[in-house]
Order: sequence, then C-alpha cells, then structure tokens
Amino acid sequence: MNTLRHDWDREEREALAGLEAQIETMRQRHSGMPPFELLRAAHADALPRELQDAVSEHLSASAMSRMLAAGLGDEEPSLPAGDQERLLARILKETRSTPQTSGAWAWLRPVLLGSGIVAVASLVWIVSKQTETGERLTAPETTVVVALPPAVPPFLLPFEKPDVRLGMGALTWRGASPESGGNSLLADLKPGLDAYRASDYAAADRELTALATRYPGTIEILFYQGVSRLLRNDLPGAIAALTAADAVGDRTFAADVAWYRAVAEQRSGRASEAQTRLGSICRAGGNGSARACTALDQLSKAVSR
Amino acid sequence: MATFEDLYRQHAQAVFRFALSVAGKREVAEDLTSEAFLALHRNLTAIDQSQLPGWLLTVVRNRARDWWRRQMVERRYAEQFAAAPEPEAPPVERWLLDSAELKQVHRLCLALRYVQGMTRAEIAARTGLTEMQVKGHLQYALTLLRKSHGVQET
Repeated sequence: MNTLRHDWDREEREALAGLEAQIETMRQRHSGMPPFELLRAAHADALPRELQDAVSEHLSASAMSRMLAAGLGDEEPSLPAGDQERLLARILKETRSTPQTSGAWAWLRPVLLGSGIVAVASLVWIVSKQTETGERLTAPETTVVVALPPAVPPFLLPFEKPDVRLGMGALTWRGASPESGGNSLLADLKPGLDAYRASDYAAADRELTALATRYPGTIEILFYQGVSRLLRNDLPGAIAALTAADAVGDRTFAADVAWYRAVAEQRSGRASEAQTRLGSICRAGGNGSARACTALDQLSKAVSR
Repeated sequence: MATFEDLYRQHAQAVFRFALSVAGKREVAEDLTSEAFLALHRNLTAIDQSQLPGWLLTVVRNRARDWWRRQMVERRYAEQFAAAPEPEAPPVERWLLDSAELKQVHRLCLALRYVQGMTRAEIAARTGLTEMQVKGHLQYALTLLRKSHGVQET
C-alpha cells in the first residue's frame, strides 16, 4: 500500500495524513502512463511515428497525462547567460573543426563535375531518342492513375475563448463624469462583457464597438472586441481590432493580443504574418512563450508540407 | 542580413526551451540546440531569416526524433500504454487537475511527485527547475491541499 510513502519526509506525511489511500489510488490508476519525458516529446510531435501514435492515443484518454505533457507552461526555465555563451563557444568551435575540402583532393572536383555533365547529357539524349521511337510506334492509349497522397488536414492554431479579465487601467479608471458617481468605464463595459460571457458575440461586438470612440485606447474594449469577432469568424474585423489592441502596448494583455491576432491571421491565409507574430512571443520568453514556440513549430511544419 | 552570432543570441533561449521540452534532459537539450545552430551556420546564406526560429525548431524536432528512435532501441519502450485508468478518480486527483487555486507548475510538481513517484531531485532534473524551487512549489501545493480537504494548519 505504501509503495511511495517510504520516501516522504515528515512535512509530506503530515500534509497528506488521512489522504494516503487516495494518493495510492491515484498512483495506481496511472501506473501504466508513459514516462514524463515521452509525454512532453509527444506533445511537441517529436517522437518516431509508432511511438508518437501510441503516446498520442494514451494522451487523448488521460487528463492527467495531458496536464503533464503541457509541462511548465509559461514557467519553462531559460538557459542562463553563462551557459548560453558556453554553448555558443562550443558551436563556433565545431564550425571551425568541420573539415573543409582538402587541397590535396581539390583537383578531383572539376574532373567529377565534367564527368557528371557528360553523364547527364548522355542520359538526356538516350531518353529523347526513346521518346521519338515511342511516338512513331503509337503506343496503345493507357489511362495513368496517379495515387495522390492522403489529404493532410490543415493545421489550425488552436484557441479557446479567454475569460474576461480587467487590467489595472480599467479597475482604477478615473475619468468619470461627476454624475456617474464612480468608475463609468466599468459600468459601460458591463453590457458588452456580459454578452461576451454569455457567448452572444454579435451583441458583444456591437456594445464594445459603441464604446471604442468614447474610451479610445482601452485595451479591454479592443481585445474582447477582437476575440468576439474571431469567435464570429469575422477575421478581417478581428485582425483590425487586435492590431489596434496591439498598438495600445498594454503589457498585461500583450501575449494574448499577439496570440489571438496570430490565430486570426493564420485563418485568413496570412500564415507568414502569424509565424512572425508567434516568433516574437516565442522569443520574448515570458507569458505564453512556451505555447507560442510549440505552435510556431507546428505551423512551420504545416507550411512546409 | 543578421550575422550568425546575432541570430544565435536572438533565438538561443527559445530553441533551448523547446529542446528541453522534447528531450527532457538538459544535456540532450544542449546537444539538440547546438545541432540546430550548426545546421543554421551551414545554411546561413541559403535560408530565409524571416523563417526563424521556426526553421531551428523544426531541426530540433527532427533531431529529437532520431534521438528518441535510438532510445526506443536501447530502452525498449512499450508501445501500448494504459489509456483508461480504473477505478474512478479519487477527490484528491480531481482537485489536482481542476482546482483553480493551483498553477500549472504546482499541478506538475504534485503529479511528478505523487503519481510518477519522482524525488525532488528527479523532478528538478526533468523540468529544469532547481531543487529548491521544486520544494517550494510542493510545499505551497500541499498547504492548499490541506486547506481544501478541511485539514487545518498547525
């Protein structure tokens, strides 16, 4: 029963007192799960095909494994500056030690090149002669069936409806008219955000659009306006709102604005712009960085197909 | 056009983080990062720099596949994994997966410690966190666990 408890320290034993049976049940339920590093690699589609398929099948059925596969999310550790420079020195050393074409064999290059040209020219001549002969003999008509590769489903950047949150600017807004008796921005945002929460995106867009000129540069208005349009599949409208949101430069919303803008761009067929945007989130190393790096990799792979 | 060293400094962090996530070992992640940048060095004049860091991440992923292929031979990974765990999830598991109080790092540390049975040192080695960070995250999560299950702090 206590297959794990032998290495718990005093603090753990106290914290988990009375919960040992549940912990053991939880452990046994997942005793057949793949190792952590396999889950992580499968999450990034970095396993050989047969292993990838097996782990992916497991992931589709296990919420615990999906949680582990997501890793540390936004808290993925970075490479310390010293290690980064050490690694650069190692790479540069390897580039210098890569063997160059030896001078002793340099004479061979033109010889091989010349032989290659002669061989290609001969092949072209032979093929052209055979084609002429074939045409004169009028070969029987045949139907050529070309087997097309199986259709690959297009990769789409995933997105979920983000919860409503308000930045400090909105919470502490002090532009109220005297008769409003407080923070009129919050009161005015409420109908639009309530509609958004209720998934009535047309109403949310309408309400928020009505506020946009009254409260210019308010990140909450532009962001939820953009996401509402995205959820209604109004992609040009979403890009316009999210571009305006980006221009506000609110750091709290920056990663989310860039992500949803990339989603809208990719769905509009503007994959290279989406890649650029994801690249900037990925490089920034902060909020949403890990998700952007993974998505960028998947998008690059999809684009190169 | 940016120089190789500029590109390295611009993208090294993202490439290393991705490499660590696909290999799970720091030394392997460094090797993969190094291989990706060596490939970049060889193709520096041929590639479209606007495709970075996506191009580098693709190199890492392909090299990682080769590495995992060798691991499969050496470690004989099972290709069937239990998919539908039985019996029903206990309340602690539902709390671990669903509690809004926990951040992803807490869920991860809890699961690696109490589901996969890793020591703090093993968790640190596989996640890139320090042992002290792992200890801190576990302590915080256990405090929340006690509170959520009606156990008062002493």
